[in-house]
Amino acid sequence: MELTKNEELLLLSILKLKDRAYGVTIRKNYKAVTGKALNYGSMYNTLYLLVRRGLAVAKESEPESRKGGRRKILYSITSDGKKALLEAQKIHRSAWDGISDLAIEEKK
Amino acid sequence: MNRIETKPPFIAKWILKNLTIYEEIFSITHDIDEEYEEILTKSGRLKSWLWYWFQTLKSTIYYINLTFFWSFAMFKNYLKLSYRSLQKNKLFSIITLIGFSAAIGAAISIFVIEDLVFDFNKCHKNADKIYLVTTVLNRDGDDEKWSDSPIPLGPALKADFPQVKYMTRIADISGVMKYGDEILREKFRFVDKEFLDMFTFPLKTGTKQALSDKKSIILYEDIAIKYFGNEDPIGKQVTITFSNGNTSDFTVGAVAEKFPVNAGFGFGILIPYENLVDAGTKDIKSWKNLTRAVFVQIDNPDEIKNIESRIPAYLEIQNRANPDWRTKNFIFTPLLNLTFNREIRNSITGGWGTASMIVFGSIGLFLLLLACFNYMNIAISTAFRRLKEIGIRKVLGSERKDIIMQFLYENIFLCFLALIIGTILAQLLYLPVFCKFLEIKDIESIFIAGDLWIFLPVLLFLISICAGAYPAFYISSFQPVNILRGKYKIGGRKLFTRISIIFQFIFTFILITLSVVVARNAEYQKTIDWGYDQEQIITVPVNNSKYFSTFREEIKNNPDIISIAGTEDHIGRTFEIEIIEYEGKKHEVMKFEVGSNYLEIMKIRLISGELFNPQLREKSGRSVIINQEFLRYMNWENTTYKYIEINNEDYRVAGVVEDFHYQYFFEKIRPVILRLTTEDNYKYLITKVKAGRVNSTSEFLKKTWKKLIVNEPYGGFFQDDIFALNFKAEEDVSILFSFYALNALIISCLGLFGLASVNISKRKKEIGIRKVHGAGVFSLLKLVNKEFLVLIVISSVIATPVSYLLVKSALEAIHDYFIPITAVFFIFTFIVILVTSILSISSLLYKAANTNPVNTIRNE
Repeated sequence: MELTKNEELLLLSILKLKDRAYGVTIRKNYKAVTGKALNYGSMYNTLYLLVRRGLAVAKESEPESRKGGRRKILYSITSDGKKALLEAQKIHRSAWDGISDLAIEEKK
Repeated sequence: MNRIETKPPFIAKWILKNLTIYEEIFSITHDIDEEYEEILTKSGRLKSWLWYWFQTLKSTIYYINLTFFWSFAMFKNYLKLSYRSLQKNKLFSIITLIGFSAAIGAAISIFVIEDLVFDFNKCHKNADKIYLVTTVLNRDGDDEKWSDSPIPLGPALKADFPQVKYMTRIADISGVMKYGDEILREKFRFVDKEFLDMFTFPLKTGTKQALSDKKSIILYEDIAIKYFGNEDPIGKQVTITFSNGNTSDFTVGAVAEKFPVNAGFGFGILIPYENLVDAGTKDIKSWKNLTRAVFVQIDNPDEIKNIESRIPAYLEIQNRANPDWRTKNFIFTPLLNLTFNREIRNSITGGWGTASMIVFGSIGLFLLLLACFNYMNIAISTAFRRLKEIGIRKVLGSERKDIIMQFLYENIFLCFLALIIGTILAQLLYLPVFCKFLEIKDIESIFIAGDLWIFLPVLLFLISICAGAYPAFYISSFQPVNILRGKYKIGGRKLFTRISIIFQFIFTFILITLSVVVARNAEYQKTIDWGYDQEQIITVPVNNSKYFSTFREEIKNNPDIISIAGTEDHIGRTFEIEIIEYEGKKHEVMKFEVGSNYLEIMKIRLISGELFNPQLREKSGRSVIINQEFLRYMNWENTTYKYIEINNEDYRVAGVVEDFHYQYFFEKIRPVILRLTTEDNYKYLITKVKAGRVNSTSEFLKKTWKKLIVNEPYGGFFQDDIFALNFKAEEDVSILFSFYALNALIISCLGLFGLASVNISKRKKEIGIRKVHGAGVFSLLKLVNKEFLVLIVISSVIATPVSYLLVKSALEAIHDYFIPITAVFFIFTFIVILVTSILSISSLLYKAANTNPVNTIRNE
């Protein structure tokens, strides 16, 4: 199953954040990795697609213990999602294979 | 830490919650709220507030984009489904498609024509600022509006009011134009030099300044080609001879391009107004003389009131100068209002009846409704075929909304196909037929109507909804449990179907009766007695009285010519409106100035008294002859010692003749007087020709004329041809109505055919079993036809009085003399409908009855 760049990044975020993966944290992680902010609309649409394709699942969390605590939608990766990530990694590796760092470094 | 307002902007929150699906699935506001609080504590209120809004808008836009994407995907899906289901029911698809296409084609053409008529005269740049000076007369207590107004009124208005920016008078006079060998009779339109400033007809070559030069003229493209062919007409000299015999040379100053289609009036040859003096109107300063129309351009509409308040001054001058034409008022009628104005007599443009536009439009609407009913009937009756499909869809999770959408899409798809076919039909078939009937010549393409691009989508939307909504809601209402249990009876909604069939046939009935009556009436018009003997009469207009005697001398020895007469006015061509006085009261009559043996040669029938005595004029008394209508109008028993006054001279009423049609039968015969005129006033030479020698004599007359009179074209015509154009128009109308009726009949029968075929396929088994038990084809025919026949009879019973009233009022509106409407028409219509419907049903049944019952009975 092919992944777009965004999908890949979001899935990786979910994987990295483990049981702390929800809207705010995923978005922050994305920003930390890429340096670019993702707006909520496009993030949710991508998440929605991931869920629909069975690469991730969404689950409602228990309410937080503090006052006014609320339920969060937590995301976690499925085995299909993991497979897709592995595939993406493989593609990356083979695409980058044989290209040394020197080859693309700008000459100083 | 200061306590700060922590609540996020509630409008933004509301948008997020309600306008997108994000809240429902992801509880987006919670996430955003959390981050918002963080930013709030970190960077303050403004920044967090901006951030919140930014996220909201961005997400919403993103959502909208995505929705479009998905609905397009769904649309593709629906399209595929529609295509499949149409293909599955080929017969019904074709039936509904034909019905829709025919109706849409008619509707589009009607729209194009009406759109054009509504836009009449809007081609002129300042059309909304131009006004026709309308004369209001009061004779016999009723106000009459006339386009004609006194010649000096225009210039007076222009001189007295600076608000009148432009002014032009218009007068029409015929004459003969000569260039090289080309000598032809033409109509000249006399206009003031500002004519082209007001009416911005596009010029092909030359400039509008041409009208400032008294001796230059402007030609219409067609006329220019007629005289000059490929030559450049600008600067060429032509010789014009007006009907009073005056001749002078003119230079062609400009050529006008083909008029815009929505030009309400045009011209052949424009000629500066001052030439009117040469053309016969001796005094153009006299308020006694009238001109066809006066137009003014007033930029500020508020000024009209100011001008109208000073009109009485002109009225006084006018009424002193012309007491016979007692004017009550001059009013300003906007040019754009003339299109639908039938009140103004002798109007130069317009005269379209609002009523006929409504009738015309509603016929189109009814055809559309017919097609919609057709679709509804068939869709509902065939719904049983799709019960399983719907049941399974619902079980699999389709919502009712989705099924409604699917059916609507199916109908939109069908309507869209019909729209394409209908547009082609409109262009190739309907528009030419309509234009021919309505005598609009220039519409070459339906796309000249600018509003068509709005009309087409609206039409598509309306008919799709109109026809599709009810079946969609009805079909989608089936409950899957009941469907699968087999609880729904196959049959559709009987009452609804029946009512719509009745409606269809009522409308068809009305149209058929109308078309039959109109067609028969067109025939009837030809048999109306003209009141004189129109056969074997050849009339040659002479215009110049000196030609009369020359020509008569030359032809009088031809043995085929029985007799010759001369006249100034001629039946079917010209007469004058005269005011006569009898016992102090004024009356309006039609006056014919005729030659001495005119009545004899035309065989106008004398009822009492005597015809003109040639010596009478020279003898003592003056006399006139009147028609029967005059007698009726005056309530006279007889004419003994009756004297009437014309221009303060007494005339004895010498005789009474039978009424004769001096105009086409649209016009009622009004009181007529015939008065003897002298030979130097003769405008027509009338010959009575031996039967069977008419054509050869006509040739002889033409040849002789060409030999004798060089400067004047030959204009001879047969008297029995004078109404040819009217007869043709009547036939065209009847063709148009037959066309409508045929359309309606086809659509209705298609509908019936569709329903019957559903009915029969439902009763296949029954028919099979009946056959096995020995039922013949005839009894089977009766079985299936009975239901429909009852419906047709019911609709005919309802339609008969309705169409009687409609047909009668339609005929009365147009004709004063028309065919009596008898029961025959309605019986004929009934039989036509009955036979066509029985045929369309029976063809189906015949097939069903002839299939081997074994096949139908054991099909499961």
